[in-house]
Amino acid sequence: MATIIKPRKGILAQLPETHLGRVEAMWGLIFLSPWLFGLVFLYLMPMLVSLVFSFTNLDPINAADVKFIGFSNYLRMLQDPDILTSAVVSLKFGLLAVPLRIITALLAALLVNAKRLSGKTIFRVLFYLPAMIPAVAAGLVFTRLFNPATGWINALIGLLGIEGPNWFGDPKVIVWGLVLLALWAIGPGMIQDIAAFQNVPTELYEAAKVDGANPFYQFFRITLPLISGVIFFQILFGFIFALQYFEVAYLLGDGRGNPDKATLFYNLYLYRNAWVFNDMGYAAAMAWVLFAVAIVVTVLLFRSQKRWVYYATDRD
Amino acid sequence: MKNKLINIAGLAAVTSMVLAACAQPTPITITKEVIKEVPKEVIKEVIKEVPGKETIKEVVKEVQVAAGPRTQVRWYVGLGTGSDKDQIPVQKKFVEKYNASQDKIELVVEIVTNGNGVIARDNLKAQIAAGNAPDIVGPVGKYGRAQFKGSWLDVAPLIKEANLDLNGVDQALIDFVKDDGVQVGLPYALFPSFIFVNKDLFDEAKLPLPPQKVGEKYQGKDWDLAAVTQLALKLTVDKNGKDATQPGFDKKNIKQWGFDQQWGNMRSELTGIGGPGLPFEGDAAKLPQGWKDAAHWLYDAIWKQGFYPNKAARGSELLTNGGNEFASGNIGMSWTHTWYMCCLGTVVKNWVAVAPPMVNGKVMSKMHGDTFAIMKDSKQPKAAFQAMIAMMADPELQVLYNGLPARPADRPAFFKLQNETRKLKDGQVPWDMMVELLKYPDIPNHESWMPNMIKAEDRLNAFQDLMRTKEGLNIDEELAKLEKDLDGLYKAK
Repeated sequence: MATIIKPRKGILAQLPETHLGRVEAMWGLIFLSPWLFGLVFLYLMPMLVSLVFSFTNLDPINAADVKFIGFSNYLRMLQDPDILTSAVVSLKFGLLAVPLRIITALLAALLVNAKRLSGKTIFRVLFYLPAMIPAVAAGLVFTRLFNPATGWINALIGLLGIEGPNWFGDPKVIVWGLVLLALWAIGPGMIQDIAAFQNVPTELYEAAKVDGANPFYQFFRITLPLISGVIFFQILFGFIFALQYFEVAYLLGDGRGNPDKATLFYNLYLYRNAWVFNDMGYAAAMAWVLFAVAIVVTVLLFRSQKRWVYYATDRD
Repeated sequence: MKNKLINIAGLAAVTSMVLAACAQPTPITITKEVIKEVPKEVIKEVIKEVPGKETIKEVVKEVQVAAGPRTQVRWYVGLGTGSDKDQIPVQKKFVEKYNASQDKIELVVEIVTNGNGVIARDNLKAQIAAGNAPDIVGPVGKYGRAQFKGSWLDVAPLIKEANLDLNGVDQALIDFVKDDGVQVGLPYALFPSFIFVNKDLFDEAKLPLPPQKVGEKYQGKDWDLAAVTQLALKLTVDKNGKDATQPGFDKKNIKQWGFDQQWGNMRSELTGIGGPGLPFEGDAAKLPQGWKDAAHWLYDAIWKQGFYPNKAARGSELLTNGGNEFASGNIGMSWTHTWYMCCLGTVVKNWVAVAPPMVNGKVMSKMHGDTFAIMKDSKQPKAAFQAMIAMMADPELQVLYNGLPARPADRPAFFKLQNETRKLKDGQVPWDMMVELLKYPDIPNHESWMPNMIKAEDRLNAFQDLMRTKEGLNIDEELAKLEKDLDGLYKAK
C-alpha cells in the first residue's frame, strides 16, 4: 500500500524537512530569541499598551482611577495651543537644522576629500570628534561658550564692536543656538559623504573634463546625482533626528521650554505631560500622533525618491 | 520587489527610532542596597559625667538575631535631600545598623539621584505606576509631596496606636506636616531660612556684618529690605572695580553681585520680598499685592540696579565655578535655608549666617520642613512606621539632612554634632537665631498647596524665568497675564 504524503501548507511549508534542518532551525531560533524577546516585550507590547493608554485618562499616581475616555485625548490635542506651539518649534528647528547639517557635512566632506589638502586623516578625525561627545555634555559646553556674560563667542563678536545676542535667553535667537549645536556634530554625515564619493566612477569625471566641464559643473551634474542615495538617507535620518530632539532642549530650556516656550519641542511637551503633569493618557495620544506623522512623512519621502534619487541598479 | 523591501526596511528603521524617541529619556542612577543582617547591635549611651557636658559612648554588642523571613520595608531617598555622594554612606550605615538590631524588619534603601528634583520624581512615578511603590519616602518636603498628592498614608492612627510622645513639639509644627488636612508624617527636620554672608567681600568693602539676632537693628536702623538694598549695591562690583553706588558703574559687566535668593522658585522669591501669601482666593487667581510689589522690586534689582543676578549671570562661569552661586565667591549675601550648609564648596572660606531681613515690618523666615512619609500603597504600613520612627530618632541622619530637630530636646546634641561635623567656627552659625526663627515661619507657606498645583507652579516659574531673562518688560502687564493664566489653570482642574 502506497503511503500518501500530503504536501505541507502555510508556515509548515517553510520548515525544513530533514531532522538536521529542523535542529539547525531550532538553534537559529534560540540564538534569535533574545532579540525576539526584546522586540515583543520591550517594543511591541509597550507600544500596544501605550495605544490603550491613549484612550484613557491615566494618571500614573492614581492609576486605580483610570477611565476609558474614547477619543477625547485626540480631540483635546486640536484645542491645545501648546500642541501647535511645540509642533511649530519642532518644525522650525527641523527645517533649519536638517538641510544645514546635510549641506555642512557635504562641504566638510568635499574639503577633507580635496586632492591638494595635506593631513586629510587629521582633519577627518577632527571633524568627526564632536560626534563622539554626548549631546547633553555638548549642550553644557555650549551654554558656557554662548553665555552672553562670559562666553567666548560673544567675546569674539565683541572684538568686532558688536554686542553679541543672548543666545539661549532670547526666544528669537535660541533656535539658532540649537542649530549651531546641531551643526557641531556633523562627523557621521561627513563620513557617509566621503564613502559615497568613493563610489562615483572616476571615468565620469574624466569624460566630463574632456568635455570641458568645470569643477562646479562636475559637482552638480555628476557628484550630487550619484550620491543622492546617501543624501536621501541623510534627509530621512535628519527628519528622525528632528523628531527625536529632546535632551539639549530639555537642558537649555530648564525642562520647561524656556525662554517663553521657544524650546518647547513636541517631544519635550510630550514628556512634560507624561511625567510632570501626570497626564499619561494624553501623552500617549501625543506619542501616537507623532508616530503617525513619522510614518506619513517617511512614506512620502520614500515615494519622492523615484524622482530624484539615483540608484545604479534596477530597484524594481 | 526590491523597492518594497527597501520601503519596509526603512519603515522598520523609522518605527524603531520613533519608539526610541518615546522612551524614557534620562538615564537614572539608582543605588540600591540590601544590607544583610549583621549580628551586632550598636547602642549609644549618653553619659553625663560633668553637669552640662554630655559624652556619647558607642557600645557594640553581639546579639542573637532570630532566623527566618523578615518584613521587607523599602525606603526611597532622593525626592528631597539624601542623594548627594557624601550623604549616601551615612544612610547605608544607618540601614546596616538598623537591620542588625532587627529580627522582624529588613530595611532596604533605594537612593535615586535627585537630578534637580526631576530624576527621583520620574523614577518614583514609574514605580507607583508599575504597582511597585516603596513603603517610606524621605526626607521629603511639602513641594515634593504635593507632586504625589493623594499617594500618602494618613499616619495619625499609627501615631495614636504607637502612643508616641510628642511632648514639647509645637502643635504648629505638627500641623506643618499636614497636607490637605492629612497627617502625612511627623515633624522632623525644619529648615528656617537666613542669609549666608561672604565675610571676605564685606571686609573688602569695609562693611559691618548684618545682625545675627532676630529683630536686631543694623547700624541703628531696621534690618529690612531697604538695608539689604543699600548693602547689596555696595557689594555689587563691575569689571573696573566700581560698585553699584558709584558713578560710571558698568551694569553690563558685573563681576560680583550683592544679593540673591538661591534655589528659590517664584513663590519662594516673591514671599521673601513681598511676604507670605497665596496666589488665589477661592477658585480665582489673585496675586497678593505684596507679591506684585515684590515682582517690581526683583525686576528692578536685576535690571535697573543690577545687584541681583539675571539668568545669563547665573549660568556664567562667574557664578557656576564653585558649584553654585554663593559658593562661587561672587555673591555677597544669599538668602536660603539651613539645608544649603551641605553645598558651600571650597571657594568661600569665610562665611557667616545672619538674620533674614524684616519684610513689611515683620520678622519672617521662609520655612521648609522635611519628613518621612509612608505611601498609601504600602503593604506593611505598621512595619514601615516602626522603621520610620527609628530613622527619625537617629542623630547622625538628623545632622546629615541639616534640619533642625522638631523636638526641642534633640536640638543641643544636633547643634553639637553640626559644629563638629562641619567644623564651624564660634559664631559662624548662631543656633539660637535658628531656633528663634522657627517662631516666624511664612504662613501660608510658600510650598503649600494651591489648585492645579503642578501646572500653576510651572506657570509661576515661567514668570520667574521671564523676569530673569528679558529686560524692558512691563511688569504690570506681565503680572496681569500671569494672573489670567493662573485663573485658567485653577478653573481647568
